[in-house]
Amino acid sequence: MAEAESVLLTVRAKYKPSMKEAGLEGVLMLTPRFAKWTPNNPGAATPLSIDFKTIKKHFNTKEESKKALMKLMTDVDPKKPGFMFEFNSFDDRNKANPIVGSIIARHQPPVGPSSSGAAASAGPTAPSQTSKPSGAGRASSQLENVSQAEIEQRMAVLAKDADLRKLHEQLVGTGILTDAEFWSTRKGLLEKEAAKQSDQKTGLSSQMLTALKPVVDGRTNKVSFNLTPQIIHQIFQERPLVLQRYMENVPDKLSEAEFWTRYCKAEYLHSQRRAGAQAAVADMDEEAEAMFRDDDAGPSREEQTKIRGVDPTLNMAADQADDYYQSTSGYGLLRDGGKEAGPSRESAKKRKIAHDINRHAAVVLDGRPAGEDIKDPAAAAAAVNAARAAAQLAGSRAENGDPAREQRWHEKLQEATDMPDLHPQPQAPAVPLRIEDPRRYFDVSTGGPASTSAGGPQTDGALWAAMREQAGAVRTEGLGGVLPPAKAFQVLSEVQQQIQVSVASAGKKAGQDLLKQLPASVKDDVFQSAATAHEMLRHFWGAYPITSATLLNKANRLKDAMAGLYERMQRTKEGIPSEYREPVSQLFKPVFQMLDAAFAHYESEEELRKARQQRAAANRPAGVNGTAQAAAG
Amino acid sequence: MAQGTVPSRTDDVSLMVITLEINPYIWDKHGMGAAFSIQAMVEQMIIFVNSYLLLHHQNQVAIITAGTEGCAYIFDSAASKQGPSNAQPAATNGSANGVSEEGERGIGSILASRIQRVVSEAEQKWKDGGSGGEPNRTTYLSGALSMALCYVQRCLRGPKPQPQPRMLCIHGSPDAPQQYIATMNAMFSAQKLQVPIDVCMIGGQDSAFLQQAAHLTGGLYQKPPRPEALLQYLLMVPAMDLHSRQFLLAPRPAGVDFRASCFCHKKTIDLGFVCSVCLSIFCQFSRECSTCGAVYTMARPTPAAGAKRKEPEA
Repeated sequence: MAEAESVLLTVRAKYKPSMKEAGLEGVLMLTPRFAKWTPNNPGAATPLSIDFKTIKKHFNTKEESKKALMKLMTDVDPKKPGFMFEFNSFDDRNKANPIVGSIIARHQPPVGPSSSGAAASAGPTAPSQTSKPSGAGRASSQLENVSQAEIEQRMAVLAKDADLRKLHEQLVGTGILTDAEFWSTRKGLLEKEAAKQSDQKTGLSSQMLTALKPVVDGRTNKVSFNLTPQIIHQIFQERPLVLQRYMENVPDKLSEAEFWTRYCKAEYLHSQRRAGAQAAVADMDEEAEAMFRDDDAGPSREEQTKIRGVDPTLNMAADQADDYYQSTSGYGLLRDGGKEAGPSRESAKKRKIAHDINRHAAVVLDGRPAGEDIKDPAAAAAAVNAARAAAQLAGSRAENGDPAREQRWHEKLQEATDMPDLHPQPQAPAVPLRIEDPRRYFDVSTGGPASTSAGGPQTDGALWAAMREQAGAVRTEGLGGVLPPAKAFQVLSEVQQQIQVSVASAGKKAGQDLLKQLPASVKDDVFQSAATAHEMLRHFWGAYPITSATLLNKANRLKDAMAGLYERMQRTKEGIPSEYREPVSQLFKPVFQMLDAAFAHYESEEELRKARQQRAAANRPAGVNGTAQAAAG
Repeated sequence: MAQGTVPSRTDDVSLMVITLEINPYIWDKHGMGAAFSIQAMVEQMIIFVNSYLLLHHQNQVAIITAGTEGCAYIFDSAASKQGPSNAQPAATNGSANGVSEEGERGIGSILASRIQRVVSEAEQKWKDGGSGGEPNRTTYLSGALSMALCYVQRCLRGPKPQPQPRMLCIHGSPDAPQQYIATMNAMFSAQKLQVPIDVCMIGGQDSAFLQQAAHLTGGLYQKPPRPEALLQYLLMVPAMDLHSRQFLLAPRPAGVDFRASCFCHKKTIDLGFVCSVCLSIFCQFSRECSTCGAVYTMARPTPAAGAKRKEPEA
């Protein structure tokens, strides 16, 4: 049985018995029922076969984290041990994730208020499921046909719609319907969901990278920094000095890791200095800090070219008095210079902050190169350098008045502001309503009242005249005798009787909304039962006419499930407090009628089928001879 | 009913919009019998409207006639109270010059004269258009309902507190399937506006349209066995204001006829075929929808040949 199961995914993954260990190399196979892991070195560990029924939950590490981990939990509590797998890449992990998710979801018992009901219905249906080995096999083969994108869409649809999720749990979770059958009637929902998913670009955040926040674990004296390629890219952009040092040192003088360790040390030292804890950092690596110390060497070459490019007619007197880097009380203010104090340590700090902010603003305004996908620091460095070179080029072109630039800028703007989720929703495929000839319905004169009184001797003209005459005879005074008291009394007793009859037949609450009388829990139960019944009936009738064993199987399965539901609804009806029994039974009535109709149809079809089989059995001798002759021939 | 919970409406002041059917084919002696004529109906309505207006000094009433030649506003109690300056009803349909008389005359004489005018105008219209083929014999029920809803809508946009609106249909002719869709749309609008439609069916047959209207909007449907005592029925049932209806027992019909009429032969059917594209209803199966032209493709069940049916999701 286990071997017969189809393999949904095979992927290399390390099994990690605990978080600390490096993990054992091996191969992970996912089937609809098991997750199997086999070590590459057969002696290193025993192969694992994890039944998905025992798995309650699975966890993944985030994309930004170092390792692509997945943990299968046998318990909902995340602190309990589970099975930890490390994938070679996030791509591998992302392939496995939706499959594991959907399998676990299928094996989950239904949750919520309907759980007791579902458990009861599982009684009659579960044995029939296990007795048919083809059931699981078929389900798995169908599961295989489904693309991952579709699985994700299904999950997304279920996550959004609680009612649908309940229905899914009740029908698919208990094995009454397969996943494919359930979704085949809801293609529209999936298409809508698919239309929503698009690779919309996220805009650039203008947030400033203030400082790397170290993570202190509290137990040891260790301080750890978390650097992702994205953060590194941002560092390179905002701190040209770091980029410069990186280009100088990596990979010739320092390895990648050494460089970033040194950077982090410098950052930490700096932050501690800022916090005023001088003593604590006394033993820290001064060398590391020195490497990243901004020695304020004045405007860089790049900046000098910019300064040179300023309009020559601009009066730069103020700027010359306090140069771009050494200004203490504000750039661009014209001063006499006499009152100024020399640059102090405090002012240097202030200047650094101002400088950082300016630099950040420049980075934000430059924007991030479009379509970037930065995987490692080297790529980040290259991207920043390329962007800078492009900016310089663009700047020089702009001086030359490049007309194509504006064009490109507009194109880029258009591209960047194109929001796919604001596009008009694609219409569900439908035959457009085209009323060919509304007159065929609306204008056919089928006699109104005239047809009933057409036999009368009077012509239309006479009728009009009679009505006019009567209307003209309306008295406006002395209307006392319009209604004789005897007649009024007759009507009074008549209406009274009518009310009594309706009270006797339908109770005092007749005519009021049945659902409004019910408490929320009972109402939910009624809705849930009705929704389940409707879904089952839709599939039941969809199975007819029965032309294959699969459809027969489905009809039988659904009939059993409907019988279970019928009993459950009967029990519900009897179980609820007596004051609500009347409205509930009225609400259930149409559902019972629909189910009865389905059972009647099933039985008549069953009889027909038996009769046909008997007829076929009676005809068989001839057929057997025929085949025997054919074989002989 | 549900209207009782809307705080911006007062619970004891009502606005009643009455539609009266003025159709010569139901008011002839064969349709209704000699005992009940349009004369008796109008006289009883005069008493009913007067008693209704006496129930509360702020009660309002508007009357619309529905006939074969069109519908008309014939009476608006708000207009007479506000004085002649803005007394013009929204659509007066030729009867506007009578409005200013209301200050001096009683409601009865106004109603009587208006109805006389509407009837003679309708007769004239019928004579003018009589030469062109088959005359229309069905009452514009959908038109009257729409006009009533417009009136209600206008009041609901007026100053608060607003009266509780409701509608009363005095109707006699059987359903006109031509107006099925328009009538249903009017009902759904009334349902959305929370305006109950009370129905007093004075004709010989039950009206499925109006039964459904009363059911949908939470109104009361009545088919008095003695239409000549209309006044008594009206005073006992539709005169109840919406607030009181929460505490009083009203006669309820045993069942509502939810059947639709088919589009092909205009028969009332309880089981039929529905076009999956335009929802037209047919009593017979056809391969093509006659309303929207959709062509149906059917899976051919041929179990004898053992032809494989397409697996769902295959």
